Amino acid sequence: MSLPPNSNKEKIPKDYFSKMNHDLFNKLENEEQFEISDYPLLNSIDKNKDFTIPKNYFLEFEVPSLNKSKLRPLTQLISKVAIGVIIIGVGVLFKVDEPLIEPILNQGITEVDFLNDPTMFDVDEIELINLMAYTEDEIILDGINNEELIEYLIQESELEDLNNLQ
Amino acid sequence: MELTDSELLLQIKNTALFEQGFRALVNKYQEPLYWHIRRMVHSHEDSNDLLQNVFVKVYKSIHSFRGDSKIYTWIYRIATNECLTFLRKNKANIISNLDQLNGIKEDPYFTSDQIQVHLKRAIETLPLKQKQVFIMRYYDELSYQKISEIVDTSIGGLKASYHHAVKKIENYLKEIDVFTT
Repeated sequence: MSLPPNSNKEKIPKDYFSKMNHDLFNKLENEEQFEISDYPLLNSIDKNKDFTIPKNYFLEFEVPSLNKSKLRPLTQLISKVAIGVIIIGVGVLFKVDEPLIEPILNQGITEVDFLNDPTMFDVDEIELINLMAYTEDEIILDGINNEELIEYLIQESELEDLNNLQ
Repeated sequence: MELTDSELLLQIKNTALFEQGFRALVNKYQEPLYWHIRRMVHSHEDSNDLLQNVFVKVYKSIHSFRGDSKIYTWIYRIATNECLTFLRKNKANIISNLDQLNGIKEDPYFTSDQIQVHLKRAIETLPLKQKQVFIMRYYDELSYQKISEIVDTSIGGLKASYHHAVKKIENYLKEIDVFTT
């Protein structure tokens, strides 16, 4: 389609035609399909006279997060000091207990020879002898097989019988 | 001079200017948001708590705001969601709505005008979503385009919803013969 002969493009705002569709569409969408004035009762009420607010409410309105952010450096400082005190406290505690803990930590597993243990001198002599006797028997019997043991026991019993006869 | 939303957002994204930018944002939006919340929940105390919650949420998540929507739409959406959650929790049925309306007369920040009480009663008869749209259009005077962005509903649907709401309110006021009671 050609332009009319006397048309002057300079007099039209820039992007007029490209924007027109958009503007028209918005206008149509926002156009009320009905008027509140068609509803006399609702229309007669002053909608802004319903609630009031406390004096200076908006001037004094504060968001809690912003108040917190003011306190944050102080809170952080207190936290750091508290952590420092705890660390120093724990350090001091371990330092005080060190002499008590050290011998236990340094004590390795040692073999205890109860026969040479001086504390064993308190044990009754009889108990000690029995214990030693048992050890000697064990040493004698060690390395003897069953047949030899039976032979030994028979000989022992025969000797005992002979002794009884005599 | 009031900053535009883009200027505010630029300030907020700048760590050094964050607090200043956020305060400016609060100053710009506290009043319209308060009045929207107030008309939704009625009580000043509840409105104050909700408004603070809204800004606390904005404060916590503003850094993750990508700017896909307008900041105004985003904040308003947070506010409407806060209101709906509050109303669903606290005023889930008609009986409690009526209780709420009985309490309204004792509210020192209510005008106690009988016509206003009737209007509030009429609004409370609306379903929650319809009430939300009615308040946005009638009281907050938002365009359908803006409401559509906030509540994520088609403009046609919003117009129908608002029209239904207005008709219901008018009929309610007629039934109780508002100017003779």
